[in-house]
Amino acid sequence: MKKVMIIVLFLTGLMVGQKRELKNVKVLPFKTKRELVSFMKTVVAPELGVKCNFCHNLTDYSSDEKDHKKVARQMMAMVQQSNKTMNDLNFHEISCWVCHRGNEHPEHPPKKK
Amino acid sequence: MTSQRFKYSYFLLIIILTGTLWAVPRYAMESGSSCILCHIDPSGGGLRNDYGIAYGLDDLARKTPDKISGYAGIILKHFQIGGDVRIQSVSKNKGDVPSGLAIFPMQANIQMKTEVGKVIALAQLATLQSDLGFQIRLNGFNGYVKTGIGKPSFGLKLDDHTVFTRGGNIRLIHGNHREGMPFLPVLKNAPFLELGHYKGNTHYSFGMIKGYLYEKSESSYGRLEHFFSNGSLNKMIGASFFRETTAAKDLQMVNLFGGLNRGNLSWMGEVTVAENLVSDRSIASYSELTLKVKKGFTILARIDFFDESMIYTEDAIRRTTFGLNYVPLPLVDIKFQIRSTQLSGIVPSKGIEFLSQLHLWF
Repeated sequence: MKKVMIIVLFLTGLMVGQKRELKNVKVLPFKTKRELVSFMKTVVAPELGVKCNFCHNLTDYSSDEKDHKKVARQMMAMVQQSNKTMNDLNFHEISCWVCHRGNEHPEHPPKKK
Repeated sequence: MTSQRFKYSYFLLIIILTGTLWAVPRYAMESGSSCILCHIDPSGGGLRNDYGIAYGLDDLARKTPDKISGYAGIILKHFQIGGDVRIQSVSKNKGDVPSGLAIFPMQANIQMKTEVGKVIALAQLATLQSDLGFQIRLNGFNGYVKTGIGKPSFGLKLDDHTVFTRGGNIRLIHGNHREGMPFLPVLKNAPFLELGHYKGNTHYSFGMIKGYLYEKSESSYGRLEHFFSNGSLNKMIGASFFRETTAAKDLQMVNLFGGLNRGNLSWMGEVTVAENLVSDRSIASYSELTLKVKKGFTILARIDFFDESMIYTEDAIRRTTFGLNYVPLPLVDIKFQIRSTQLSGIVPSKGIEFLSQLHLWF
């Protein structure tokens, strides 16, 4: 019984299984999952002080069902656009850290009285 | 002497030979997330996902050579394939005299995964035990339903099955009826159905399994875990139950677990209370303190405890362990441990054990 299941799995995967490639990546320039995961792990998560599940459905990382992921995508597009300008001005590139400083939401200056 | 050594090696082989795949819950706690962060199976262990492979390369190893820094798992056209191999040696001293040494393969497992839309199929072959595991999982609504042939998800799911909260000693070397909870590594995978859901930092799952503890057993189980952090302090708490529903005197187990992590220092612990494991109420506990000295080097101190009958005090076992975990390179994990066991009452100590283990994964 167990062996039959393994054979069925193997044949099913061979015929219809998805290729392992990046899914639903629209803004980031990476070509491999390894690059993408390293960027998320070393840049995005620590600079926002969050864990993966803040934006992702852990059973399907490619899903857009969480609003935080949609916002994050727009934020990344904004950073990319800003970096084009920074390059033109010959300034250092920026990242999430510039505003977020390790917080989910950037701090705003106190309101003037 | 040769005969004694052979006998000792043989029983050690039986004690430690295992096909179980368990995750390292300390990594989950340090990452502040459930096992599924690194493993394809939400219950943990076995084949790693992209994050798990990256974590193994970037965060665990002392050095990551450029040649393997881009390793992303073995990917065939429609399959991911991985595996775990463990080789262990154990020697035991009685006083100053070595009384046994055994070196043996402990695990040689191959796992394979494929994905069709929201359906993930995962297979595992434990070559040393000739045991197959298999699961099909349907993801949706931030949760999953999975079915196949596997093992129940219970407690901390520690990677060392000899701790008393898991299986303890298979051979009853201290003369008790049992020396550990019933999750012995010799138990084969069995048909199961499990539902799980993620809500924020909480993961809970419920399942049923048939024929796991023995041929005609039917059991239900559930597990809840929650991760949270205050600044640099990561915390994990959880509970689980396991209930056998077929025997006249049903086995029932309740487990509480938790952990704390701050920087390089972590603590994890769990307590399991079982009714009708032997005759009345049994208890097992586990407590481990780890310190990451520097990247790739972790030292640990652990106490685990088992009392098969809480009415009598003479049959309790306490084991103290000190160890070093060295990860020189990605995909390579080396462990050294010194263990000593004390029994309650006037029974003399059972000597000191020295364990070393080489774990390779891909």
